[in-house]
Order: sequence, then structure tokens, then C-alpha cells
Amino acid sequence: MIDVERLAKLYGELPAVRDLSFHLGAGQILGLVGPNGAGKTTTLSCLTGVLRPTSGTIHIAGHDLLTQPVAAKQALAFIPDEPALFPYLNIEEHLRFIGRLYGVADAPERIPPLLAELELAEKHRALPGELSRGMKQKLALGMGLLHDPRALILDEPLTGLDPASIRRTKRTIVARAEAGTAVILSSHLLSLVEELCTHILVLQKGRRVAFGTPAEIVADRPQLAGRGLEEVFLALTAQEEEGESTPP
Amino acid sequence: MSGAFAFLALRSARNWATTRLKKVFQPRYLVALLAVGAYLWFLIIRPDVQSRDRSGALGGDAASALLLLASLALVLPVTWWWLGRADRTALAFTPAETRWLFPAPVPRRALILWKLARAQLPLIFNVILLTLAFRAGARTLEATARQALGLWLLLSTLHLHRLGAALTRAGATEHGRAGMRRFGPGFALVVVALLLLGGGAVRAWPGWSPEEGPRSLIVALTTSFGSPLPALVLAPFNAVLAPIFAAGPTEWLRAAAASLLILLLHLAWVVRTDTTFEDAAAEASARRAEQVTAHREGRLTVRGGRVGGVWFPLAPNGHPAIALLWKNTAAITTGLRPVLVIPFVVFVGFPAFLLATEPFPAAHLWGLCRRGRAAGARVLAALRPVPRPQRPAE
Repeated sequence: MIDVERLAKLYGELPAVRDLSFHLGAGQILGLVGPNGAGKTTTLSCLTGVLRPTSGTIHIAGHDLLTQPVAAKQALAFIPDEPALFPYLNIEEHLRFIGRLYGVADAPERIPPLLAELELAEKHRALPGELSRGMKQKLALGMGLLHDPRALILDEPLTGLDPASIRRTKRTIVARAEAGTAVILSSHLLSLVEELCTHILVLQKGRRVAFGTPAEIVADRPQLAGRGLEEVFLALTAQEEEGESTPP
Repeated sequence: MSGAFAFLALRSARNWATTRLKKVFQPRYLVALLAVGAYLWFLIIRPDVQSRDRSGALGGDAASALLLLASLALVLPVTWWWLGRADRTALAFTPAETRWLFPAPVPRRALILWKLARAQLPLIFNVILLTLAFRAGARTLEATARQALGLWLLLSTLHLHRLGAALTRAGATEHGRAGMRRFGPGFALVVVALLLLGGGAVRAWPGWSPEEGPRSLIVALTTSFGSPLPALVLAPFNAVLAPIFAAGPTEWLRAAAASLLILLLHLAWVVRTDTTFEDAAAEASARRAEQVTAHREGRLTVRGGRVGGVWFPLAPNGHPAIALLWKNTAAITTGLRPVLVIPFVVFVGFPAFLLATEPFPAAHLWGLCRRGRAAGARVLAALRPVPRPQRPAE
């Protein structure tokens, strides 16, 4: 569903992402993790067409993001970490706008149950200025899900949510994956990644440090067997740091 | 697709108006609105009603000199957009647009068209303000409408040119050699045009006699820039400006047709520029969002940015007024770049210069200042009976 081949992104001379390749199939959930400055946001921006890769290819649902951007993006949804909303559209209008943007013919029928599911039905006429951070985040999630994307990309999806909403959002992500959506989830919450993700991609300094199911990652490194994701992550990224700082 | 954008524009406009209307019913907003309305009435609208008998359109020589000087003033921003520091703010989108439109199945061309359409609202607002403020010679409603349409053609063309130049430059950065091939002709054209105009200015210099005042400078410039090559360079600028200076309906129609043609050519150029501008737009949008946040938080500059432009050191002790002056000077001058100075020169300094110059009605500028002062005094007098909020007892 999501194919990335030798993706590279340079800011001027500075490489933010280098030679990144991975494949994610339908129904799989990929946790994108890495320390600050590892290139996670740049990778997500390239995957969603916000930034243009310097080299490499990205295919979403079989469509090349560079040469067939409209078809590729039709299958995609991106839910950003900062839920920037249109200041003078109310909650319901945001969803109606997305419905029109993605050509969802039955959007008017889909919106009420979605609002109820997100617990935003009572506030459906409220403007973003009247909403809490968590409510904005829920609306952003609803905007991403309205057109039933085949590839879903979430950047820190739980920021600002209360415990009940966190549980509901996790269930939503899993339910979407079970329905065949490929999900990429970027988060610093390793417990979330460990709980939800079928695959993990560890980035450091723009490079892929590890990719695969948790079992595959540990199988390649027997010394990490039996450890939790947090320890695996710290070991992997520390290993890389040492590898880079060791003189040849 | 267009339906989605129309929905966004119309619903946003409706909700914006509703929000503003709700605020108007709060006493402090109502008083402020009435005060601004009264000020504008006394400053701009009423004096015109009272002085319908003032002189008509500018005479032939004055109008053509004015046109020349205005054309030369327009060369400044155009030069900056092509040769100055890359003007990426022209490509900025709002944070919501970047977040929701860039990852959406929206063709690049539709994004540009949306950006152009959205720019029309502030542009039309500026046209109304400029028309009200500078309607020398526009004695009738029809003449005022002609002037307003001329201004709209001018500002729209300038906006398109700025966006086109920014897109071409962004393309040059993104596409390497191929992009440079697209950028090269425009760059070369501007350099050649500047050399020709520079030559014209050098030739005009000996003809200026400071003792005879600015008038002799205008005569020397008119003669020098009337020669074929500089006139050719200035022809498109003249054409864009001509509807504003047209004397009658027939002349205006001819001028407006030429100006509209230039506008449409610009539109075709911008819309057909299928360059990848996402990176530049994302960067410019992020920067603008940081600036907006900094402004809302009352900071002088964005985080990690430099506080610059403080013109004098602030002593640790002294009069509070000096500290306030220092703070406000720093706030105004921080981030002051040539690109911000150019519109000021074109739209404020240049008209002020023209109005103060001998062949033009210098009294108009003075009259505007006097009317401003008188309007302010009347509004203040009207506001005097309004009770002021009491300070809480300390």
C-alpha cells in the first residue's frame, strides 16, 4: 500500500533523510520512531506531498506520488500533530469541506455519526477559537477519516487528548487497520508504538537504523532479546551514535 | 474541486461577518466603529461632497509626467522581486491550508488559483481605501469607478507579477539547471531594462537644475525617458498605470483594454508555471506562522531570531517616554527589510512627493493633513460625553 524506495531529502546541502526504503502492506501499522532531528517529520512531509523528495520514489496505493499526485493523495490522509484549522469554519463545515475536497458523495450522511463518535456533536457549530486542543485534535482525526483513506499517516495523534479519547483513538486506529488501511504512526510515545504497531521503523540522522516487526528486529540482534521497545530503541540509537563516533 | 474552494471562501466570509457583527453589539467595539466611521466620513467622504467644484483631471503635461514618475516607481518593486533576496513570502499559505490542502488531491494549479482568489479580498479593500484617499480629479461617481477599476488592474497585475517571479525563482532552486533556464530570461530582461533606465537617468542628470526645483528634474526625466529604448522599457509599466490617469471614458477604455491584456498575460504565465513550489511555500508558510505567533505573544521577533533595528541604546534609568519610544522603534524596525520599504516608497512616499511637487496641487497634501486633523478633533469632541472606564481602586 505504501512503497518507499531510496527516499532522500536534502535541505540545501544538509541531508535530512538518506536512502530510506520500506514497504507497508494493507492492514499493517508502522511505528515511526527516532530521536529529535532524526528526520521523522521530513519523512512524513515527503510521504504526504507537503515536501518534494530530492530523490527516490513514493507509491501510495500503486500511484507514484510525484507523477500521479492527485490519484496518490486521493488514497491518503494525513493527521498532523498540530491541528491547524480554518479559523472561520465551524466543526461541521470543516468536515463538509473535506468531503467536497475528496469528492465524498455521501459526506452529509457520514458526518453525523462521525461527530457522535468523536463526541463533537454538541459543538458542531463551534469555531476553532472556541475549542480545546483535544477537541481540535479529534476534529483533525475526523477530517482524516471522512474519506476512508487506504493509507493513513498520523503524527503524534494522542497529543492533547484526555484518557477516554486516547483509548477511543487507539481503537479507531486499530479498527481502520483491520479494515485494510495501511497506517503510519509517528510518536515519541514508545508504549503507544509497542501497543499498536505491527512494524517499527527506527530513524536516526535521516537513516534507517531498523525496520521490521518487533520480532524481526530482535532476531537480527540477539543481544536485545527479551527487552521492551524502549530499551531496544535506546540500544539501537546509542549503538548508532557509538558507531558514528568511533574513528575508522 | 472548485466547489470545495467556493465553500471554504463563502462559509469563511459568512462566519467572519457574523463574528464581527456579534462583536459590534459590545459597547467598546461599537464606540470604536462609530469613531472610525466618523473619522473616515469627515476625512474622506464629506469634504468631497463639499468641494465638487474643485479642478478637474490633471492637465496633459502633468498627467504624462505623473505617469512617467509612477512607472519609474513601479520599476523598484519589480526589480526587487527578480534581483533582490528571494521573496518567498509571496508563496506563503496559512497553516490550515498547508496542513489540509497540500496533502489533499488538489492539483498544483488549483492551489495557485485559490491563492490568487483569496488575495482578491485584501486587494479590493486596498483599492477602496486608495480610491477614497486619492481621488483628485475624480469628480463624478463614474470617474471614481474608473479610477477604482484602474487601481484594481494595477494592484492585481503587481500581485500576479510578484507571485510569478517568486514561483519562477522557487522553480530555479528546485529544478537546478532546467529551472535556471526558465529563470534566466526574466533575470536577463530585468538587468537589461535596468541598464537602459539607468542610462536614461544618467542622461537626465545634467538637465536638472536644483535652483529651479523638482519641476526641472521632471522635465529632464520626461525628455530623457522619452527616447526610444527607455520608453520601450517603460511601456508595460505605462500601460498598467494608464487607466488611473486616463482623462475621459474613451481614453480610459483604450487604456483599460491594454492593462487588462497585461493582467491576463500575467494570469496565464502564473497559472501555467507548473513549478514545484511546495518546499518554498511550506518554508514561507512556517515562517509566516512563526511571525504571527510572535506578534500575538507580543514578542519583537520569532524565536531564535535577532532583535534588530534598535536605533539608540536604552539607558538603565531615564524618562518612561524614552523607554516607550525605544520599545516602539524596535517593534517597528525589527525585520524591516527593503521589500517592506518598497511598497511604502511606492504607495506613500511617491504620492506625497508628487503632491508636494510644483506642477501638482501641493495644497491637496496640505488639505489632506488639515482635514485629518479636523476630522480627529470632531471625533474626539463627539466622544467627549462617552463615559470612560473607571480604573479599579488600588
